[in-house]
Amino acid sequence: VNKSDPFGLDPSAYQWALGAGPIEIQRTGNWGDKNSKDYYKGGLTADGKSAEGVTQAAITTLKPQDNGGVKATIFVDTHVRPEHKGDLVDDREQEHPDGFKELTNNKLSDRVLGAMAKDSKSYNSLKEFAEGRASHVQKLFDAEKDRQNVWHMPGQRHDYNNPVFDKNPHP
Amino acid sequence: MRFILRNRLRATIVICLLYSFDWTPRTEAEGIPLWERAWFAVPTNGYGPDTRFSLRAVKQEGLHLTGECTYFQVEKQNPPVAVIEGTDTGDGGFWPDVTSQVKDERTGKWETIAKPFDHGHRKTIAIKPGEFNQKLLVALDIFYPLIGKYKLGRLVLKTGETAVFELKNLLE
Repeated sequence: VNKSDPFGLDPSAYQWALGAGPIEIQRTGNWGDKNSKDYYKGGLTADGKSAEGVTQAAITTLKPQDNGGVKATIFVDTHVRPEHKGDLVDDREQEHPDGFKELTNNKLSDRVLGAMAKDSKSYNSLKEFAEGRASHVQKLFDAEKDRQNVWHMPGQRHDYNNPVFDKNPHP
Repeated sequence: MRFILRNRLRATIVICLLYSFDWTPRTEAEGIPLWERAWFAVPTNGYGPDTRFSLRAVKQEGLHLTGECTYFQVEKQNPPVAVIEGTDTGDGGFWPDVTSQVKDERTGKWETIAKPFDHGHRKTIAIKPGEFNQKLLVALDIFYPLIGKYKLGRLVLKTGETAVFELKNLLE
């Protein structure tokens, strides 16, 4: 592939990237805000079983825009049992919103361009370019989701059987 | 069997109704689901042999709900290597054979709503001790008409492992 610009983008992508609109992410949920209502919540369950902490992450309304931009809503909502306030469970649960904050910070557009530079696709219109950007936003969300999912395996960072967790948290 | 047929009929009716209202996906861009949700929980009892198979994400593509399950094989199990039967759809997706069930909260019993069915070429995957697969795909359409009527659903592998989930997680 002849990639002529400093980003290494295909010439067609480079052409559209110069005038494209922004990637706008609307955030919903508490995003790990410890001061939000019910961040610390008793009786947490997941999959019908008792849980010490739970985070949900979702992406909705991901849509390419006519101006080459992208809009999406990302929902991140974290809850921890009150007895874990300030302990390692609380700290580790914060890693979920932190990961999605990193994903959606002001470098997202650059990361999407970087991902587009690695594929060999050509874009024949601003509309196609916007669709390509939206597709890569989805892929980056999926990659972050998969990365965090690995923490929830035996002996990994978020396994409550991991000896690093003090199962008798401070009162 | 009558229960399975009735729920397949319900799922078909819901899909037909959606089409009859000229419901179209909000976005048509390649590879973009209408929505996707993942959940990460720290179970009080930790992760072990009882939780090795679990549903961790759901997405809606077009009219279909697809789940992503994770299976990890813990050390010192018998047999040591987990073998999962299913079908390969040819695009990198592996769909394990699962029986779909919902829990009757009144009796505490699990009712089967769908048996495994073939999507493509038969395939078997092996997961060695200490390894995992987080891309086991499952069709969840059959559960959709039962949301609100049942709280819990589960997917059962041929080897007996179950992935329990809350049906409300299948909504956007």
